[in-house]
Amino acid sequence: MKQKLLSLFLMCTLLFGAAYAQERRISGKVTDEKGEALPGVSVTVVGTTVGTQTDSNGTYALNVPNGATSISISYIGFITKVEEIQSRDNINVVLAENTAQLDEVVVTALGISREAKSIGYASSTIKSEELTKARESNVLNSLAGKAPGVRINSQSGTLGGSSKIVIRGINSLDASGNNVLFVIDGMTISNSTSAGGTTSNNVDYGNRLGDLSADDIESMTVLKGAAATALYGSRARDGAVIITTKRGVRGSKTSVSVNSSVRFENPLILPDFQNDYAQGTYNEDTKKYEYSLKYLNGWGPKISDVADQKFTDFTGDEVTLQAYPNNVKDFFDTGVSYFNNIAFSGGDDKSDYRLGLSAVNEKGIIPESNLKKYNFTVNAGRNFSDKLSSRFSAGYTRIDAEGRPAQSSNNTNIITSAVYGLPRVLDINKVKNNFEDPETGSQIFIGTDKTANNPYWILNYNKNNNVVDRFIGSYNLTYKPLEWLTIADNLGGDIYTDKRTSFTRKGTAGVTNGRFTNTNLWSREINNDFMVTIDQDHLVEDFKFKLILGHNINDRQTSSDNVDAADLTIDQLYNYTNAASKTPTLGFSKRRLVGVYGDLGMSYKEILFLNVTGRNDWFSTLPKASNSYFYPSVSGSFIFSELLKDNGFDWLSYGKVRASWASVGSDLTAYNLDYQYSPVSTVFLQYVSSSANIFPIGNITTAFTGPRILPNDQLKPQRQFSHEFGADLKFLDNRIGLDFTYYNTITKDNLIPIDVAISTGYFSKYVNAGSIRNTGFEVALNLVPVRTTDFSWSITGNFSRNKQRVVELIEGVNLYSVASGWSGLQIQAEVGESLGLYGTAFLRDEATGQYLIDGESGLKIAGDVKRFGSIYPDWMLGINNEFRYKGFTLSGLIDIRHGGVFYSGTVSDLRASGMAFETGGDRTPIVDKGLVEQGDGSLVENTTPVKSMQDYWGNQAKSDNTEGNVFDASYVKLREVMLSYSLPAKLFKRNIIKGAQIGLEARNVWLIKSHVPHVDPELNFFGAGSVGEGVEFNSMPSTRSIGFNVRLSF
Amino acid sequence: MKSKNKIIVGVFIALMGLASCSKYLDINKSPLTATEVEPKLLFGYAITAWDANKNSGDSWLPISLFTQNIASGGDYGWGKENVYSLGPYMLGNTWKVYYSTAGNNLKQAIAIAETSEPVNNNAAAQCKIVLAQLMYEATTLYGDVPFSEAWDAVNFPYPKYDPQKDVFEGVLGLLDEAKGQIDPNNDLKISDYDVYYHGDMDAWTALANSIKLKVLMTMVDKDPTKAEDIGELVSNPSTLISSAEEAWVHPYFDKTDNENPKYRLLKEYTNGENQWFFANTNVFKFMEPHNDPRIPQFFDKGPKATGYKAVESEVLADETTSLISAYLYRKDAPSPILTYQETLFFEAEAYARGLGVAKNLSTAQDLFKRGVEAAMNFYEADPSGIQTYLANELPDLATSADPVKEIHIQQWIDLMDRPTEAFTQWRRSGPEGSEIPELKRPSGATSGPLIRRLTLSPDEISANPSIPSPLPRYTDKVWFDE
Repeated sequence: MKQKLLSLFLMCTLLFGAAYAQERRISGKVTDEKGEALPGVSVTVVGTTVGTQTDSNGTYALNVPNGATSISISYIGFITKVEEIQSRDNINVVLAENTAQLDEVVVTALGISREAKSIGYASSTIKSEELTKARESNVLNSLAGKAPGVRINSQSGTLGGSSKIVIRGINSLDASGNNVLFVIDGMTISNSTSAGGTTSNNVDYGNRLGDLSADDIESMTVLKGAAATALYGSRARDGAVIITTKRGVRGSKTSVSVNSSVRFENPLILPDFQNDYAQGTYNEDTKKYEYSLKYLNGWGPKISDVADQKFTDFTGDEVTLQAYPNNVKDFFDTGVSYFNNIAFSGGDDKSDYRLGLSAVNEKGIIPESNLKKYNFTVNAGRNFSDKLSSRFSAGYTRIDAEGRPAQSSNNTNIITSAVYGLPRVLDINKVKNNFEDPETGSQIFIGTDKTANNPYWILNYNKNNNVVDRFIGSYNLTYKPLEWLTIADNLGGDIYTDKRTSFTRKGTAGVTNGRFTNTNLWSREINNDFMVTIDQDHLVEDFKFKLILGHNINDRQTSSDNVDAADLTIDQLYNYTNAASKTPTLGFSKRRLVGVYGDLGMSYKEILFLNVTGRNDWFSTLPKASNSYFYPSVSGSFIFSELLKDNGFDWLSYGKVRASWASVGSDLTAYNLDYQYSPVSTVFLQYVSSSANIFPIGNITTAFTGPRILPNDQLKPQRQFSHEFGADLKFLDNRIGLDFTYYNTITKDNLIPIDVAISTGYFSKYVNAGSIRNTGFEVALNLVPVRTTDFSWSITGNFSRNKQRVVELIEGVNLYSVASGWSGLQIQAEVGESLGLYGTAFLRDEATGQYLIDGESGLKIAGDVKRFGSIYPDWMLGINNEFRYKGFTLSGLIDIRHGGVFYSGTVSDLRASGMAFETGGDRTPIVDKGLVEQGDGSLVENTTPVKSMQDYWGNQAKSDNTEGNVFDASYVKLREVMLSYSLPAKLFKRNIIKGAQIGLEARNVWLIKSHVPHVDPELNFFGAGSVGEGVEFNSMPSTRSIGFNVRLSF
Repeated sequence: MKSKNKIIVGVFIALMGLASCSKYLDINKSPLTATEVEPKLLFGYAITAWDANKNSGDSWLPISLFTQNIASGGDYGWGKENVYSLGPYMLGNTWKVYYSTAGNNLKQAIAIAETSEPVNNNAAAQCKIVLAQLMYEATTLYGDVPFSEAWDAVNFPYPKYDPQKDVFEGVLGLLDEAKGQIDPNNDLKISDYDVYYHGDMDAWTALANSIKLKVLMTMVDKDPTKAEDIGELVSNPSTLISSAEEAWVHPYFDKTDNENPKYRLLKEYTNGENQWFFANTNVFKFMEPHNDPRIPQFFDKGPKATGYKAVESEVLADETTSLISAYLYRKDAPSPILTYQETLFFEAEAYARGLGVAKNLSTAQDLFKRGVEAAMNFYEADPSGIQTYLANELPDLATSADPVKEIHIQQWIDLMDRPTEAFTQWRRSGPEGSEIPELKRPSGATSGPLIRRLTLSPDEISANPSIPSPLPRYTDKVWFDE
């Protein structure tokens, strides 16, 4: 019905195509008070719909109907002026800047540009220069520390690895329930991730937002609260990032810009190793640490004690042991990246275009890894007539990556453990030169039991590669039959394929017969938005109205086909028919939604603003009886400084308060309602594979299993309610700016597969259950302590504090497991707490809090599962200082995280294997502090020394004794430093080059303070798509990069 | 209106018309799954997943190590993580198999068989017999477990924990129910997917009886009234598994992906060679003095050894220590679930102890001898060695100081490669401190008593408020364990 009304309305409006008969032509130029031309100024004939815009020279020409008396000249950030036409043919206008208001325009939901003052919720916009001044191959990383309430974490040091974005905390109990919506030029796009190093997938293949090229982006606006994103409906529940790509300027000559960087990378931090002990094991009979080639660890003899002896090394040579302190450091290369972008843009009076070509060529910090990324983008607009215009925006991306490292655990090709686990007495060059027997072609193992691979064997033969082809495009058609009426349709598509291959050569420990896996992912999203916008500025005096009515169709399909082929006959021939075992797996998902929405905006005297929105979505993935959900939102702002401006409040340049309330709902993934039997070819085999191929076996040719998750056909949409208050204040001629926001969001009826007692037959069942609340505040502070003609110093601070609390789970359940790591470690939701890290703790005496020690071994005793703390920070702070002196700009961004806990599997390995610095030095067995329970139950101080330090660290840092490997996740990082110099414009007069800028850029420069030894506390094993974080298992070290940049425009 | 505009309007209207169709949203049916299946398809998956778990790193490996019938060789071998450190995976994954992966699929198969037209009673019975064994294993490992309220998520979202005695009774009831449903003359049954008996329903009846005998023998020390039922079964040996061919054995094959999971573990890491698991003194000491012909079947000499040598649990092995044999860990090693020799040993024990039958050491000796012979034949020991052993080395129960102990020793040796059964056998073999064999806590294990059960699955603990309180510890005894 709604659609019918809309179309009727549309038809009616089109019939009013009445034309004005006689016309005359006037023209002129619009400038600011300094005499600079103003392009894009709107010039309209008062009382009519006739209007135009100024070109890049600030000039306009307009046919005005006879009888017209005046024209209105308006431009955002300037005071609108009305000029009497009288008999003039040429009307030049000088517009005065409206200093009382922000000249800032914010792109809000559905690409609607609105003045910042009219917005009743917080948003942050990051402009192109911020994105490109220290370029990241993953554009998401450029947001780190720059927007309050927005947390960005690079997940690993993998080349082309993924980054995670969290806006105002996690709002879901669903493991994959953090889905910030990304929109590029009106088209919603995929940011799918394939986990970083989770239990199911150990390779970081990046997140899809990393496909974009930073050079093509004009701005990224982060919409945080539900009120900001209510028009997007369910999909923007976790916030939205609205990306606008660069355009050409109308009426300008073709310009060319070139931006090139070269960047060098190295590991930000590498572990601190002991350099005193060789490989081996403690022998209880001899009470000595004895050398043995069987062990790849640091529990052998002290090197200095055996200087007079010869030992056999892995190549069979008789050698005197010596430490190689840099063997791990020397393993890593200096990564080199080249970023090149060339863009052509220009336009005539009715058209504009921009073509961008970007190339990123990277060589990673580990040998044999490289990545090539190419982007080709087009953005072209055309006015067919005064009423009809269109815009086409599209981008093609190709990524070709080779040698992505395996991380985490249960994968024989994990590179960090292979490298960090190299005994200290191994010369990395000898390892490098002896990984393959030149005669037989078989691997030269470093340990005699052939269970660990030579890292160079892994790098050279066992590669994970992928190729992405992606096309994103949207076409917008806008029809403006009347000055107050705009009808627009935006149709877009986002299609990609991601072809992944993993090879493991025959002769690899753990996969002795060889294996390869091909995975083809395909995704397609089609989105159409149809919008009618009605502007009424003169209906009621002092009031302005804007009504948007819209309709949305969204269709998302994904498929995957995966073939795992093992037991190869001919070495290195990766063809299915060369494999004795093949496991093909298919995946498919299709979901749709249809929405209608409306947005009514009102303003009074540019002082009071009110927006009311409503949207109704219909979902394909929910039961028909409850597949519809309505989301209302209200937001308003009050520019109180307008009332004070002539009353002696000169120190207050601008003052605004704002408030909003919204409710959104969301749906489920596809196919979770029916009770389904799935054909399976695999079973779970611990230490072999979680999906070990077994069928057909004997007579059992095909096998089926019922669901693990009990479906539920009574589900309804999940609901989220949020409210937000804020103030935006500017003082002393805008030199101090303060933006404060408080928000409170509660998500109810979470659509989650909640764990059920497995004795019911199911692992979990889909329910609407639990609620989770996030409250917090955000402060953005801008200071300009010094501002002179030649020099300025500005400080920007972004502070955010988010407090998450699980309000309730289902009745009778106080703990819900959201995500699992290895060795019993879990991310759980507990009523009254934030999502936290849970795992095995050492037993303690309740009265004194002291550890209980086993009286016989002298070791701490592993006990029950315990909460170690929140996985999220208490607060985050980003501080950016920028100095400008003439053409020079120097800036530095410090990023601070406080609170939360972090588990490191790498630390566990380094310590348990006696490689970490702290396991070296004096290895006299210690007496661990704690209490020992006596036969009568009494407790006495422990006096039993551990049998050996190998036993001590083996127990203390054992991966399933979670407590021993949990640390405070707080850190202070120097996130980026940038120095640039713009060559003076006078150099380029009459030159083909119009401008040039050179710069030095550094990212992830320095981990100033961290409580986690040996690794970067930002690493995350769960991957960008999971709500889980704060856990790392053998992740690739994150990288520091330093680069040089040259930007030229022609 | 210009024609161009008409086109635009037309496109807009067409787009909206498309969406107004409710069929547009009616797409939520997976193209890759079925909503109806035959019972055998679920049965086939359930028995395969169950047996794979039983022979995998989640069950066979940790239980073998803590039951101490194989040795880890200390740091020289697999390592020590499985000695009294019950990881969440083994606890959780094994539980999942009993209740979900295997258990629930059998329950679904039973429901489908019993509601189909015509009713497939034989298939339901086949599933129930397997399910009875699953629950027997679950309760022997985990003690009190859900049974009466299990597999009914709608009515019992938090199944209660039944006392072990009730679970055993439930298992016996399930077996009787299955026997009552069996109709050998009805061709409606699982036959091709029945990898055990190929649809021979008489063999299934014998199996049901033999499982009953095993359950009763596990119960009888705590519930002497079970002796009567034991007597009835052993007095009618033809109703039990009565030949090697009737043994309940899950087959594996010398074919990629179809190998025994123990071999697959070694194949994954050490090219199929066993470098990690060693002969444990706790078994070897009973075999060595009698030159047991199973020694070369069970063990391989160390690479630098001339003879066989075992180590105790967690003691550092070396290149002279005997390894568990490549024969036991071969690709097509079958996975025995209930063998002829086990049944014979139970029968011998019943006569030796006078359980429901008059104590008769002569009958017991005959059954005992046949049991040892069947056990040696099962592991393909050298035939002449078997005869030599039976003639010269087999203890005579009639003259033995402790005939029941001799039977228990043979049961223990026979179950060396079957840790789940061996763990139950050891606990069943005598009151605490008098078990056969006498075990001591392996070095490196937390001080305190020996392990006597698994603790509960962490998943179950966090999701089921009906779990017992206080939570059982691994040193707590289960009901049948004296």
